[in-house]
Amino acid sequence: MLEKIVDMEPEVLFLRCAFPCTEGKVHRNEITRDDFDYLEEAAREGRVVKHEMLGRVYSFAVAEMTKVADELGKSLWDKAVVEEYFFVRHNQVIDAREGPYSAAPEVMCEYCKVYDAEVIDVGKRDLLVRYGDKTRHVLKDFVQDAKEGDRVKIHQGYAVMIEDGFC
Amino acid sequence: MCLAVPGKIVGIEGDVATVDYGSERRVARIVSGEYSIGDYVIVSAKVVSEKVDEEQVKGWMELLNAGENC
Repeated sequence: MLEKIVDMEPEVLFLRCAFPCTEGKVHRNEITRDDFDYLEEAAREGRVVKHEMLGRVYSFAVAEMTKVADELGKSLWDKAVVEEYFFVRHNQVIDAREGPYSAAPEVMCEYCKVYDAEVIDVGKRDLLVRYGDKTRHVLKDFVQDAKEGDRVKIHQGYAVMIEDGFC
Repeated sequence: MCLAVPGKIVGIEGDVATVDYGSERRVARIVSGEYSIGDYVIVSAKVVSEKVDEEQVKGWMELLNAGENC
């Protein structure tokens, strides 16, 4: 069943956008594999995760989003704040090499940005997408209804939303 | 901060690469590009996405292990 972006809870959009970062947290033993599985399932099924857990696991993103919320005069868990952070500010922070990105290798920074992409092939569990002059395979777990020609936002190895407003 | 984890190809059989991440090994498909055992790569959606220069991997892993958060 199609789920309108406008109807999606801000926490769900946030988790789908932030989840691609989660593997690194398991690697650093910040969270357990069980936490990872819980978050993955919640993101895939569109379940709201408690703010406490989102703030604990994704502390850098939430801190940056807090600044955006202050600037926009909105509450932290407002969808406009989530969209402004992940679809605008996130790449600006990387491009400016702010904070932890100051020493990050170029290839890592490019991989970590959020891109607008076009779906050019649909596989059983993944999509082949084109962004600029590059292509990438991304999981379609969060955009099950994506089809060839759709515009999607991608973050690392995931398509996080379909741009026409449905996912 | 967003951190994917680069891994090292330790085996290739047909179009399937075995990628070592230190604590575990995973397999990934090679659908395009030239890859060899010893290459450091990013795996995206179980597909080998791109090669990473070994010097960049060093800096990447330092950041990854430094405890920076997303």
